[in-house]
Amino acid sequence: MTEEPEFTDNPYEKNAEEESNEQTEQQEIYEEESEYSLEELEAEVEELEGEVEQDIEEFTEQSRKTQELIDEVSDSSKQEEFYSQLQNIQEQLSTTLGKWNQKLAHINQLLHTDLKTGELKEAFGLPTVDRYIRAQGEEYWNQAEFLQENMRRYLDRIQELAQEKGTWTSEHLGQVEEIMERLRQVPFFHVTSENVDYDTDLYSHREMTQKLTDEEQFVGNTYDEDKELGRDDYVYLSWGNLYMSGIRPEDLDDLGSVQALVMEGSEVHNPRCLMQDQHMYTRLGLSETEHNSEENIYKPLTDSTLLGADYLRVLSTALATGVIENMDEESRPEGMFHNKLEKEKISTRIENNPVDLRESSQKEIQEETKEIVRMLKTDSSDSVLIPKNIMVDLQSNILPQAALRGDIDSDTSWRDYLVQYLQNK
Amino acid sequence: MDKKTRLKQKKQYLQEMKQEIEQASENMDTLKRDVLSQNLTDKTNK
Repeated sequence: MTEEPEFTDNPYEKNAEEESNEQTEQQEIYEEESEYSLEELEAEVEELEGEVEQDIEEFTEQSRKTQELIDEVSDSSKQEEFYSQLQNIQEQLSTTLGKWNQKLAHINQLLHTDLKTGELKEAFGLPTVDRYIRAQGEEYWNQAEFLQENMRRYLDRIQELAQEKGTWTSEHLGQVEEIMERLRQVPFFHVTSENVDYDTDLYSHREMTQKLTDEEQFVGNTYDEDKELGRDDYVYLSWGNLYMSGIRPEDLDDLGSVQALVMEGSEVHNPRCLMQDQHMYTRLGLSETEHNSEENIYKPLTDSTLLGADYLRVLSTALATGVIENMDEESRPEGMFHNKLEKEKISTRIENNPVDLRESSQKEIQEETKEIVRMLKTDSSDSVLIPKNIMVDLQSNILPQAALRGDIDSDTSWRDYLVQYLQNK
Repeated sequence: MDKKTRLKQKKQYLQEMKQEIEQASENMDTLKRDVLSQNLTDKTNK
C-alpha cells in the first residue's frame, strides 16, 4: 500500500497527544458512519466536493470585492498594508489548499484503482498489470448480475441509436439476444494468472479476428496511414492494460479502451473481447459526437460503475459485431505481435512510397518522442497522455516485460523509466 | 483499506478543506470591514 504523501512543511503536523486525539475522533467518525451504505457515502462525498468548489468560488469573489475597496483607499501606506494583508490571506489559503489537493489526488488515485482486497502490489505506484486485472475479475464476478442489467441497458441504447440511424438490423437483434444468453451462462472473468504472456495474447487476438472474419484484419491502434490505405473499417481489438494510456488506470477511460480477457496460466482459453468501442459506432454509422454525447451510452453506465461500464462496452461491442468466438489456441503463432505488425505496416508504406513515408514516419516518431520526454520532465501531473503509436510499443513489450522481469518495482519511478527508455529509443 | 474507508478519508479531507476556506473567508471579511472603515474615515476627513 502506498504511504500517504508527506509534506516537508506540513502545518498540520501534530504532536503525539493531538495525533492521538485526532485518531480517536477519526475512529468515532468512521464508527458513526459505518451505517452509511457505499452509495450514500459516495453521494455525500460528491456533494461535499461541490460545496468546496462553491466555497472557493465565493472566496475568490469575496477577494475581488475586497481588492476593489482597497483600490479606493486614499492613504497610500494604509492601502499598501491592506494589499499585503489581502495577499497573505490568499497565499495562505492557496498553499493550504494545494496540500489538501495533493492528499485528495492521492486518495482519488486509490479510489480509482479500486483495490478491493487491498492485496495488490503496486509497481511504480500502480498495481502490476496481472494483479490489477485479477482484481477486476473478482469484482466483476461479484457483480455479474448487476453487470448483466447494465448490459441490457447498454445494448438497448445502442439499438435505439442505431435504429434512429436506420443501421440496426434483425441480425443485430439476434446477436443481442445471444449475448444476453451467453452472459447468463458464463462467468464474466476467470483470471488466475500472475505471469501472463502478453505478447502471445496479443497475437492471438489478431489471429482470432482473421479466422472469424475470413479476411485480413489490421489489429492494433488506428493510424492515419491505415486510413489512407482504406483500413479504417476493421474491427479494432486492443489489448488494453494499465500501460495503455500513460500508465494511470483512470486514463483508460479517456481512451475508451479497456482490458477484458479470460486467462488461466499463460493460456488464453476464451478470448471474448478486446475492442475499442468507437469502431462499433463507425459500423453502425454513428458519429463521434453522438457516441460522446452525455445523453447516450456512456453516461448512464459510468455513473454507476466505471469498470463495469468499460467491460460491458467492449464486450457488447465485440459480441454485437459478431467477432466473439473461441480461438483455436494451436493456431496461435509465436512471436512479438506488435513488432511484426509494425514491420508489415512499414513494409506496406515503403512499398507505396519508399522514401517519403519512411522519412515521415521516423521524423514523426522522433518528434513525438521528444514531446513525450518533455511532458514527462515538465508536467508533474499524474496523467501524461502518451501518443498511441509510442504507447503500443510500451504497453505491449517494454513495460510489461520490465515489470515481469522485476526491473520495475515500487521503488522505481515510472516517469524516469519512460524518459530513460524513450531517450534511448 | 477498502473503498468505503477511502471515501470516508476523502470526506474528512474535504471537510478540513472546507474549514480552511471558511477561516480564510472570515479573515477576508475582517479585512473588508477594516478597509470599509478606512474608506469611511477618508471620506469624513475630506
